[in-house]
Amino acid sequence: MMKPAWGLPIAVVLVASAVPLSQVLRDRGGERGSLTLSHRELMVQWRDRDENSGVLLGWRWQTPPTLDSVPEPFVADLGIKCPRSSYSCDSRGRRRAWIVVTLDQEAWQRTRDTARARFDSAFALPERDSTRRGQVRLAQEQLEYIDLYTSRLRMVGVGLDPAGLAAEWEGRPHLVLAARLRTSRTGGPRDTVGGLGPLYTIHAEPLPAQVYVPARMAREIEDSSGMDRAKFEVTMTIGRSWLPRVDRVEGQGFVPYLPQ
Amino acid sequence: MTREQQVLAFKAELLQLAKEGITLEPETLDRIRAHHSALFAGEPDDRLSLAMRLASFVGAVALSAAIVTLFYRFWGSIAVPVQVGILVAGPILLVGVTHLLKEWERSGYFATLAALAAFSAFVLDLSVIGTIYNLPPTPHAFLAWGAFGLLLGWQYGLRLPHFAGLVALGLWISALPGHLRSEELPDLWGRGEAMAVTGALFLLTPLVAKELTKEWEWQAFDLRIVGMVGLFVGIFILCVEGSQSWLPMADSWVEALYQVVGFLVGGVVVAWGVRDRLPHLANGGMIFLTIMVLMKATNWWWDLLPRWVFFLILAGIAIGVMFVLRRIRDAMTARRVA
Repeated sequence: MMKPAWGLPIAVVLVASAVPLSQVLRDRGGERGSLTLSHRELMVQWRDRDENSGVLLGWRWQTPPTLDSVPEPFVADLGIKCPRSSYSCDSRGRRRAWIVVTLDQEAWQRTRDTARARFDSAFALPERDSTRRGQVRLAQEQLEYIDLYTSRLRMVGVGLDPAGLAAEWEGRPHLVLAARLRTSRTGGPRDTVGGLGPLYTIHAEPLPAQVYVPARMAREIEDSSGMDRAKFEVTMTIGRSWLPRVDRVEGQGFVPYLPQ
Repeated sequence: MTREQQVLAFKAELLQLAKEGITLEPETLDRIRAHHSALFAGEPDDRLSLAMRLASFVGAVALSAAIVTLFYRFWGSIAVPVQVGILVAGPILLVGVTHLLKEWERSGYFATLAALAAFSAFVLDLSVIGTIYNLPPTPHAFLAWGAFGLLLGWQYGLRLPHFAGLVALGLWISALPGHLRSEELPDLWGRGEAMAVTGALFLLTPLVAKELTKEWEWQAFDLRIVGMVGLFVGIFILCVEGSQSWLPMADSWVEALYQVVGFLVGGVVVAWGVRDRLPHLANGGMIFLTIMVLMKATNWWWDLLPRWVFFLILAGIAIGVMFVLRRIRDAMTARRVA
């Protein structure tokens, strides 16, 4: 058998590297939507900074990206076949689809307003009230938690056609992301609730699970004291080939720890 | 068997014959001795070769780990175009180093080190490009890695990158059916049938491509090993987890079916190894059959019998396996003599 040409391995490297790069180039040729998320929705992922200097952001949800009590026809339309005799759809229940995510600012604001009201009423207690200090501190911590960690991100749609989903949500702030679906039966194998037939739970995991922040933008959210108290806004854009990318990062300072 | 091993076996047989009173003419012995000395002039001792191989393997793994961890240590402070440049240039440079090292040292131990580092750099290349540009995971990267490893192995006669390339190619083939059904990594490899069929394909390729394997014996050996492992792992997955099967049957029926298939396939592989004098197939098949027997013994008797009886039965099974292996060895020896 003849030996292959010595340049063939090098050609494989060049061609294989060119494939994803050309995909990215094609993707940058257009835009299918963008959304500005905050540090609450895209959380800096922990890593040992001495061993890994890259910054990745992970999704954080207001409620887990799950559709509950979904009827069988909906699941079948997604191409998922679940055996009647068991709870889990197992390998037959996992597939790629597309999800629509948006920010539920109203629900988040209501939560914050409630916490703010609690803080104001604690602060309004008389100075001589022995519980005032504890209540103010607790209310302050709750406010801080909401400002730093409570997400507004919600999944609002699932489908197989990203263009169709985008058209449904046109005019409203949203992102269409690729996702891996995991499906299981909500009830027992023979349960049929109210004559509806079997019901299912679909849990979605966005792809990719973590988003890369280029070095020049990562400086906006990097601090020697750690990143979990950084406030920032990230503008995520979906390109022509439905690839998500970080377009802009705007640092908004760091929240100091509350004095003891 | 390498030429060196043949010569050593020949010398051992001559000594045994001399003890039994059969000798060759002194002139014939001198000519054979001189010929063998000329043949292996400058070649290292076989035991030293083994040590070199081990050191080369450890060095290759360590160098690969160093390259990956070095990149991750500094990538966060490098601009994206420079990152991509480093990632693409890395494996290309290491292919060049492999070429130079192979020219310098023909045995290939140092070249193996560089080749495996090149393979790791290429894996890093595609993985990190995917991370930087938030690309969804794809199994096709395994095709690229497999092609790279195979080409590097063939070009320079290096076993390790060839083996790594075969494993990557096998992973790509077994991921294809799931990928076509829009399943996602890593669920693509939860399919026992895909893995078993891929393994069987690799195992049967040397049978089909006999002209190739005559010249490239070690490639055929690697194909059989990877194929055998893939076939057995795929069947074993289905023996214990019937839900991973494509068959439209109840899980318990699938598991029972593949347990029967497992015993049959194991037996066929052992018989094949004995018939064609391929000890790695015979031994691999026996190991798989032993694991299957242990699995069934545990399923049937672990809850039923007192522990000492269970382990006594296992010991009996092990002794039975030893007798069978002895018969296989005798059969292989008889075929070799014939």
